[in-house]
Amino acid sequence: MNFRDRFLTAMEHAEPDRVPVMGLILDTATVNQVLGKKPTDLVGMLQKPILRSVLRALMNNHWYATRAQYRNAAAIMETAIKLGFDANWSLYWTMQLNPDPAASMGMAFHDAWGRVWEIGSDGKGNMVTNYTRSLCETETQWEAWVEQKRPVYDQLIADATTFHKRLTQAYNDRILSIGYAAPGVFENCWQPMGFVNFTKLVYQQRDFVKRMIAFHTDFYLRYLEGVLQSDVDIVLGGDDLGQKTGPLMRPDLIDTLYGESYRRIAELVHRYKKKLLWHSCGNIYLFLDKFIEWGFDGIITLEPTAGMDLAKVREQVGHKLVLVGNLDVSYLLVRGTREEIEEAVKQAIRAAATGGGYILSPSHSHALVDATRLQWMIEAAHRWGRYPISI
Amino acid sequence: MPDTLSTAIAELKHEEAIAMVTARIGRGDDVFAILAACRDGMTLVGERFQRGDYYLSELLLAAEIFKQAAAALEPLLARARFPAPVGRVVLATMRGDIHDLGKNIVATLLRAHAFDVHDLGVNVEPATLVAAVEEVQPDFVGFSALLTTAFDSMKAAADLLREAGWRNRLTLLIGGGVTTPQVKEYVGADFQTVDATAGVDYCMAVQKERQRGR
Repeated sequence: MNFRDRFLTAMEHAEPDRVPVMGLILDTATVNQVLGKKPTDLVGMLQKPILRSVLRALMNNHWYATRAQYRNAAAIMETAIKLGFDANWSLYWTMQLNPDPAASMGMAFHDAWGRVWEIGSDGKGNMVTNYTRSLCETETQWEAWVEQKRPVYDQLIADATTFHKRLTQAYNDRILSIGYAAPGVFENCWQPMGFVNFTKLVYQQRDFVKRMIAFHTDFYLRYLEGVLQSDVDIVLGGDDLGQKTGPLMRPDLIDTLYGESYRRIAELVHRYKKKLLWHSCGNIYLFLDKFIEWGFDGIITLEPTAGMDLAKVREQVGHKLVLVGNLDVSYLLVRGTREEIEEAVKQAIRAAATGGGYILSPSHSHALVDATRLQWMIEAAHRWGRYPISI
Repeated sequence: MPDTLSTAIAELKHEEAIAMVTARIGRGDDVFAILAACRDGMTLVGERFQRGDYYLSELLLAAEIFKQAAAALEPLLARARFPAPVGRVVLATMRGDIHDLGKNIVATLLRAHAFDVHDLGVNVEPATLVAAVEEVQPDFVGFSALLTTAFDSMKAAADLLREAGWRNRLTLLIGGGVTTPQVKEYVGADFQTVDATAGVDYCMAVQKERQRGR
């Protein structure tokens, strides 16, 4: 069975030849490790005035930025193929490098929706960015921001469609490229405003929040349609609704505010006769039944460090959701022994793979995830994941 | 409008709560009584969080309201005779990490429970942490981490505290989304949690035991 048939069979809750294995974001350090590349010290370069100007001009140039994004995504696909994944997600993003006196380096990336991404190092010589704060704190600021960025959003949708088309054309004979439409509607509402500020708005300016949700839902559907038109077989959508110990916000409030948006997203994917995998970090037990109600086909990450137990999730949702993930990245895929990884893979397969509907993957990604350990994970999945499961 | 200040905070009525604080200051109410009402409000919020009526978003909003109320009271508190704090805490996000959301929640909740909190901020060098400990002489040191890149500096700081003879004189906590029991062992901490309220409860329980021991 080839990788596509294997993955799509699992998505139908049927048993393929073996449990499929999927990669997530493969960080630059992981890509370098597998492809034998050296890190590029962008952080060091950005701290030198002349180089900073040159780099900023390049990074903010549309022609250069779209090509750099594709090159990075292609390197991730090459890495995933070399490691032996059946599928890997692919994500298109747009950010501008701007002077930012409040940022630790005096500059930061600002994305199209109003987030600040501070620059740092992954400890292996590569640049990383992390969302730290918001750029729009009031209704007036937000209105002005989105009005100014309307042409950027249109361009983003066009660029993302081209990006995903190129990737599927280049790689669909070797690996399933899973198009990721991100960021999610909830994240796009709160992150550009700040979480505390957003919560205040939810309680005190509900009408404005509803307008924001309507705007971001409309954008998301347009973006998603672009991804769907790139011939991907599976689409990944997402919104981080959980944190380590539970939901970020009251589940009933999330349903009231966002439920209709999520239903429309699932309906659009199904109209194209595709499947929708949904990403959410955190402890999300309280949302599992809602995911089914909203129309999602599967859920991904299932963070073990947030208490997400694969057997418990399977018991709660049965085969109404495909389960993807659950291999720990806090210790197991960073410093775990081969035996520990093999045991974790066996445990995951035992808990969720019978009857199909399970895809093995890391529960997330970061720079310290070790490529050798990913390799061990995949080898263990190949060894123990043959159907019928007999562990 | 809610009847009391504590109810206003518990029900997340931001503007009303701050207006009440301002009005009570203007009336000349006892500053410690106002602060106690704010703390009672935070206690109610904590209870609702434990019950599952409130989630992280409500906790954060309440903490923000408390922070603003406390800031309004601070000039008066500085002039007043302050009762002894329940305990002293030094908090930091160590070198390699710039996130502070969890740390800020913990700091606010600890202050709401009458701890004297010294927040060193983010990306803190281990030597800076040790210098602060030598100055403040805290009962607790807390490290907050959202990035794994902070683990080594957390361990380095714990090692420096040991070398300087401070480690056995204080309780070391680590918290944050990426921390686990294995990380606690690696750093050499006494307590680890991913839940801010659990960290605060732990500090209160430890201080209570210490008081009993005296």
